[in-house]
Amino acid sequence: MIGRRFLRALRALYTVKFAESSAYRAQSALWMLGGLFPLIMWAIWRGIGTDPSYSQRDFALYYLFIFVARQFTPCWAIFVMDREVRKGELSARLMRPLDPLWNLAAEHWGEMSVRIPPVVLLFVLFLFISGYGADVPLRQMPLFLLGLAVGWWLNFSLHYCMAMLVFWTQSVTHFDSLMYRLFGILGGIFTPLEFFPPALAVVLHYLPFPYVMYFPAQLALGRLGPAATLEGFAIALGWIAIFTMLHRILWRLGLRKFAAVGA
Amino acid sequence: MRSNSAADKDRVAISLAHASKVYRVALKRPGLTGAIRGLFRRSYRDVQAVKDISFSIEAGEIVGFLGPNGAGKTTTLKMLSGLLYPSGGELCVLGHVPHRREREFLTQVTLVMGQKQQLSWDLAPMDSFLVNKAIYDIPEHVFSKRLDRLVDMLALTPVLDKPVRQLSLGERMKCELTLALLHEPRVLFLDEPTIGLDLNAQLAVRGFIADYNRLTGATIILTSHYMADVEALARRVIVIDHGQLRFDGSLAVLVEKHGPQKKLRIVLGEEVPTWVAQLAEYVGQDGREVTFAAERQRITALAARLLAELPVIDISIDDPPMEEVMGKLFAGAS
Repeated sequence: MIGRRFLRALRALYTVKFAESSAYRAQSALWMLGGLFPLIMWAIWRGIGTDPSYSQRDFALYYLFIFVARQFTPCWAIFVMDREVRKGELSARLMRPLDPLWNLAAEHWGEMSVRIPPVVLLFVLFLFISGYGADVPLRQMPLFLLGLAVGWWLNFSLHYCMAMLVFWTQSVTHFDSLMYRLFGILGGIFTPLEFFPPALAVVLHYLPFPYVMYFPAQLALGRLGPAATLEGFAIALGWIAIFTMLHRILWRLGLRKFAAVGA
Repeated sequence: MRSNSAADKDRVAISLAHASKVYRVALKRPGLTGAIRGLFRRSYRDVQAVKDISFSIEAGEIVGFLGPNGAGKTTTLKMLSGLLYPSGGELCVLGHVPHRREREFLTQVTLVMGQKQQLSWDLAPMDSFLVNKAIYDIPEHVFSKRLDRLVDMLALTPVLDKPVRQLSLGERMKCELTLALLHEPRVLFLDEPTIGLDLNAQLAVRGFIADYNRLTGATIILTSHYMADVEALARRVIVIDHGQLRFDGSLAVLVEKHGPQKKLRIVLGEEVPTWVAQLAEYVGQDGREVTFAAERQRITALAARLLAELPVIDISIDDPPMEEVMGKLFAGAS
């Protein structure tokens, strides 16, 4: 009963958040333009040349899937919590018998849904321009989509943990800048992780950063065997469990500090 | 058979015992030097917003919660609604400890803040209503019935499908109330629900709150800077100032205790004789209308004398305005 009630609440929230995101199509388009960075990286690599482990085709498809992964693993939880706690807007959410986390999650799902048509259009356009349309491994798409879902949840959990610090620091937006840079470098947006020094690549393998965009892109390209695929999912889910436990603890402690100012 | 204390417990909807709240506020010195010092050494100050407050409210009561700005009213409401952890004391609302924020508690209370909104700004109010229907798990037929009643009471039909950003302040407030009451809470915390509204909207909201209380038996705590709200709705008032309880009782007793002077107004059928202005109780006059102020005990005798000696064509005796009573109360306390 509780499960069904919870799902009904999520569906209603998603519907409203989708409608809200649709009302701000221009803003969504601007967000998407910011996400074109991987395609610029592809253009740069195209000029540099090839590598034994990455052909021109590999680079093109890698950055294409990184672009798609970036569009569907966004997180602005830090910005929202920063605003809602500082301005007291969280109070209204706290009065409802549903954890505010779900409101925020639904907001992301709504925005991502609005992005589906333009991302598909850009995806097809890119394949047409690059000439690699026939090289897309369609069989890998279910795993890629699963990787995206896990990647988004991992990214959301990590950002939500950071967002909880607002109860102590009053402002956390600088953490978002930090996360952006870390994911840019360690998450595979700038360059595939195979080009990192081996020692760093080993460490990165056990950190959460590669499992948001790099890992789904690797799944899409079919570069991982069954064992590496399972290991990747296990590491990602492990981090999700850790971050979820952490933000639950921080949430409980943080609410004691919440001053509900301004509202 | 149930004991009397158990029955009493059932009747009490809200209780606070020695509740207090201390905020820790970071101090910032002005200027560049202050900012640099703040980087290395932060200093804090404890602000006691609520000090050792105790009261209880029975189920179905409407209580006016009064006090000047910064008195601790909103902090108390936030503690009672579970938004704030109290620094001390015990709070209980409908048998629940508010800050635990259990689902059963949250589905039975609501907090309406006149200056904050829960409605989705870009969507029609109906969208927000449907979200609350799902979150509070309100069955379809119950939702329709409640919504119809609320829409009818607040005359909301024309605005249900308009984006919230296009609504007037009064319309928005009515929609906020509807949203906050769809789950039919048993306890309402209303913080300045009529702030900024024009007179018609104030009257509509006031009438609605009274009707809601009558129809559902809900317990209501109301803060308002408009004394007319309190006078129209609350028989009992709780007054706090500087975080401390100053008064808890009926409006009539508050007025009697802190506004002992009544106002006597007469209108004469001819010019006002000069001796009237010499009376100790004389306050002023406007043409043939004269105003006096005196203690309750003396006002009747004065009225009788004036009626006997002057051609009075109209007379009224009124309590002093609530604003005046409150002003005296707070002036006496400070």
